[in-house]
Amino acid sequence: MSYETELLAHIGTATDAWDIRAVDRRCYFFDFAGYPIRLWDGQGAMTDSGGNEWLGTIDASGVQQLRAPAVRDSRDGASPRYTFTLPFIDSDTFDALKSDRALAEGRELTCYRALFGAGEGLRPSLPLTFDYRLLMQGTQFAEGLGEDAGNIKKSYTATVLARSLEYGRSRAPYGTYTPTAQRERARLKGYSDDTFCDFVPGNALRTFVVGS
Amino acid sequence: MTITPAIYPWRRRLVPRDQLFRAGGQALPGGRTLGGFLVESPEPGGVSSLSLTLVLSHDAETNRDAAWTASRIQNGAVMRIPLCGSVQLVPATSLGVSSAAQLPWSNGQSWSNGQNWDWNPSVPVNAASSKGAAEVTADFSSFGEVLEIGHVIGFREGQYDFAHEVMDVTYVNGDIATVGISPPLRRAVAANDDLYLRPKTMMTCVNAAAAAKTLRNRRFMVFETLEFVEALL
Repeated sequence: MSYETELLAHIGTATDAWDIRAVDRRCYFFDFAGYPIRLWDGQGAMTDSGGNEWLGTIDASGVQQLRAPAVRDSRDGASPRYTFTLPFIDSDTFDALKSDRALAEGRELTCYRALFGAGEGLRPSLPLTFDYRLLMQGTQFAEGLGEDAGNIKKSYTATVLARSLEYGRSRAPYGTYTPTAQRERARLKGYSDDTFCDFVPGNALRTFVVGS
Repeated sequence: MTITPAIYPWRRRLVPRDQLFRAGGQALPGGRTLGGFLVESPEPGGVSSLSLTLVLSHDAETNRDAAWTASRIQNGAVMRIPLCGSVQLVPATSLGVSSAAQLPWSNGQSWSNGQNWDWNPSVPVNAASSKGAAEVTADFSSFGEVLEIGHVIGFREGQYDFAHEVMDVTYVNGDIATVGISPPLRRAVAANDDLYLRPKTMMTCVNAAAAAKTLRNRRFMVFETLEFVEALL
């Protein structure tokens, strides 16, 4: 069952938000090399339909410890920087990420959505639905002492910098957008033929009006 | 890597006057409908919490325990708190007291009259349930259909204790109970595991600095209502 049909099934004939008994939360998969981290917007450990366990990032006081930016539609080709701030996971993961920036660089950060129906507890039966994917650029770390309601607390933060998959489009191309060049690239990759750029010459010196 | 925190026992002398175990959890503010209703996104599964109001005690040992507790509950320490007898637990009169359910002293001995000093009634889990599930089945044939909505039950897995509120219960095939619980299971339970009817819960105090007032006249420890939230372990 798709996310849409599942959601519509939960909404049913409800005419008011109070009648809906389904909760949608985001899940973040930081695919660090060797130290994959799965976090979700909630409390406790959530298990998805594939058996993966996701750690909740909302603490006992109801404070969201993971700071995730609002990711915008990337269809305009822009690739803004996004900064995700991770809470302290455990010392092994934290030390590994701290000592090796290459664990993050070029790896993927994927956001999914989980749909919890009534009575499903922390095991949503619907597989997680893809939301968006970003490329991690690197990590930054900070640790320090702070005062909180009379207690001194040591805090660790790992900041992950990410950009959308549009990142790098403005770089100088390493090839020419012609049928000949495309066939040569295909040959180098081991494919017999690639006609993907065959439409390009026909578009030369033509004017396209979009949206009129 | 699994983090294994120290868990501190609740002092048995500190008996609460008022106690409420809640299972709702928090909600994230969602938005407003056109009609102006604030919509909230409830926590999936929920997280339990406990509020305790302690009596003003009158003997030195209890007050010393209370003063120790005032320090111990600070800094997010995890306390193992037994739920005291209240309407939230299955009443002892429904359970009867069988010698099999009684507990001896820690050295394995009973009182001189052969009676043990405490009891921890339990029923066997009927079928395995996964971690995160919001439903368990248990065989209540030894006590009958005594479990009802609003009771609090518990499980013990390893060194951890978990308490769950019964949100829904139906009995089928005799006394096999299908129990809807909140919060959901924090650990998987296997068939024939014990479902305890006198549960303990592991909690962290969220208002420790504000609630522990003072040793009045240097003798009586004074607490405001202590608010605990489930330690997610």
